[in-house]
Amino acid sequence: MGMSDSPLIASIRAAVQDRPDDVPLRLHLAELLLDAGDETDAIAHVAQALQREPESPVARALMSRAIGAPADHAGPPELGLPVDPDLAIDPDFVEPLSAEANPAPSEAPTVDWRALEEELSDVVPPRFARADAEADQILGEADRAFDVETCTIRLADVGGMADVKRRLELAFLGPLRNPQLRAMYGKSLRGGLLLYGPPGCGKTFLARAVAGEMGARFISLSIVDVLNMWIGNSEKNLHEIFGTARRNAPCVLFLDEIDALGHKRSQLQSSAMRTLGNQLLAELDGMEGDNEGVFLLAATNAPWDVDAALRRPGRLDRMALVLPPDQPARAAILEYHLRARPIANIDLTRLVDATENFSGADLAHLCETAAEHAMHDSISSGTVRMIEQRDFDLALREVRPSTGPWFATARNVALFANEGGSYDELAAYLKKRKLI
Amino acid sequence: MADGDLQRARALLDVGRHEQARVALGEFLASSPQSVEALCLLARSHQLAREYQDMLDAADQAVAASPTSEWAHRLRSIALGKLRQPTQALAAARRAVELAPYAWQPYVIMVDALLASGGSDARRDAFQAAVHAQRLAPQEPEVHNSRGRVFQAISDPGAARRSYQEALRLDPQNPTARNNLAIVELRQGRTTLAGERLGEVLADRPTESLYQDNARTAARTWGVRLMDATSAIWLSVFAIAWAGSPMPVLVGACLAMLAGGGALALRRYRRLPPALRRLVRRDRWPMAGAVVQVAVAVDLAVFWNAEWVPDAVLVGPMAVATGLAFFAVLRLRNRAIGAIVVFCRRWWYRLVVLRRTG
Repeated sequence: MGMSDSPLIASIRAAVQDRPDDVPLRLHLAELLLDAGDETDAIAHVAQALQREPESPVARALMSRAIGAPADHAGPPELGLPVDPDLAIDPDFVEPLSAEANPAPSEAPTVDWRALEEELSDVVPPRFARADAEADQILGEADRAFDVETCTIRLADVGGMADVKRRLELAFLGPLRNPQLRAMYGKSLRGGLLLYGPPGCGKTFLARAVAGEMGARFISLSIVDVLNMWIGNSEKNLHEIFGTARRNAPCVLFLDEIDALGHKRSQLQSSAMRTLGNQLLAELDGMEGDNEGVFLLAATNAPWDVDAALRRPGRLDRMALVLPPDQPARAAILEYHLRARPIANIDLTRLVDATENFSGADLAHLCETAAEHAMHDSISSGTVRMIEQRDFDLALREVRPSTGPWFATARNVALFANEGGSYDELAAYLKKRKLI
Repeated sequence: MADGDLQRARALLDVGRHEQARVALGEFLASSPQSVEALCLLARSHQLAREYQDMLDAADQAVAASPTSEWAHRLRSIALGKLRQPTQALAAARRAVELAPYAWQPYVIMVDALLASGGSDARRDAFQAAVHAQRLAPQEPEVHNSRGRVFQAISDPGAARRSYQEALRLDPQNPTARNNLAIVELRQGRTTLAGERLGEVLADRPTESLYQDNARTAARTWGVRLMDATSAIWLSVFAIAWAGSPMPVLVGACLAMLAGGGALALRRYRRLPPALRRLVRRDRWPMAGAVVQVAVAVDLAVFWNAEWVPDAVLVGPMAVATGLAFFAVLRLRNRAIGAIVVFCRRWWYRLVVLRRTG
């Protein structure tokens, strides 16, 4: 508790501690602290608010007031339209930003927080465009522990990844869209697709895009869901989830972290997990019901830990490697994460070139780190400024691609466990990159 | 719900999610900080992550919470063994045995602690502990693996092989038995068989670094044996040439030996799993040595009797081949000495050490 704490400040401070993400409340506290003359504490709170909402004009105004900076530098322009991930990128991309776009008030206002929030809600676009379709709950089955979603994103919304998209189109979506052709060639729709690759490279996003492309419902299930909700009752609930998928057909059933749900049974010691694996196999085989219209997608970082029985024909019999984003994908991801941040003179081409092997999550972290540098600089210099190329140069020294350990393991898998050719795609990629 | 946390942690450990398991255990330990089971599971999660100091800390806490927990002492022994503190590891293992003399697990841990301590008395005690564990649980593969390790330590590869084969009979997928069996074959000079076995175990567990290292060793040994075989061919050609054989005989003998040796080597190479073949090919030095020996043997067979050929055509390559052959002979000598030592050691243990009373 600071020296300046009145009972009001103390209570608001406690509320902020309880709800650290409540930016308006935090700004309210900062304003009270400023009024009480505690600039240091106020700056800390405004900085945290800016970290959460970098474009907040109120936060910037408060920061200007706290650090005594000229107010007309504080206005963050909106970057404008949400990024289309497939947008062709100008190689000389530089985002010039107008400082006048969103002028901040020259002195701290006495704020009616609720009114301001309501007012801004019409003006300020949402901080983050929805990266994927959120769950639209289906009414009538409210007591179930999982959501049946309707995905609105399409494969075209996934930046880059041309190879994976082509494979998905050929192996999964093409046959689905062409029932007559399928009938002519006697192609069955049985079986599922296993997406594998380094963590943070968009496997889940891709699965949702496939569901969106098919116009199918989407159910996602992971080991954490299973263990959190169903311990001791897992077979029954697994049957229920497959039942729900069948009732909502066409439906994509997405099994995330399939290496845990369907771990190699020879390596399992607990009978609970073994039984769960057997139940999963029975459901996949349709022994517990007709799987017509239920499309199975699974994702894993460790396909080598997946039980071989799950990979047999009619189950997860196709595999697709999801690699770290390629150049167009990296450009799209970077644009996406920068779309609502105040940037100036960023050389996107250079950034894309410098982020080879970065996963999507790494790129997000890079943007976050660059923003932190700019913010710290703003706080220490007393002048609020844009995120610039130099911040990214600093961030690039700190943030390294997290995919390295995965490729080290994958290299051994391609070397030692590719007897049946399951990892030919991975081996070819590693060979191309001279990793084996 | 608290019990659910423990169940969740156990299931997560089972599928190798030690970090997530640790979160569940943390939630449980927040409400029950003295739970021995949770602390032991925590130690186990650190063991899976190869964080042995943290494993030891958790095991110490478990022992402090319940000094009579056999599991806690056993985990402590494993951690101390990994941290290269064999005396303390052995003390912890002995305590685990005292607490649960009816269970096979502490005996298996004690066998490992005794073997790490070194010395013939420790090996004798390890042998007795392994025998006792086998009496307690003859259907448990790990008991036979433990016995196999003791036999390997007392230089009895035949008995070790039988123990691992018994473990594999009980559990055909058992990776420890498959790996250790491969090591027995490798030490016996059966490199192709060892390579086959390691290929199998790696196909099942490609991410296990121990198996990868063993496979690399097997591939290197295979390549060195090939180089030694070509050295033997070169020496034979040289001996025939030195005896004054005419050129047609010399060339014929050389080609016959190369064709026979080549066919044998090719057959054995094909028996290796693709991963091992790749490792053999990638290990350039033994391959280069073998190629040199073959080239020099042919050179010698063709030009030995040709008076018009300058000496440099024969002398230079022969000097290189002699150097390589010298090391091949040295290796052969070492293997012979090693075999004699192993033989003597085996019988010394059988006739003297294992009969001593502790």
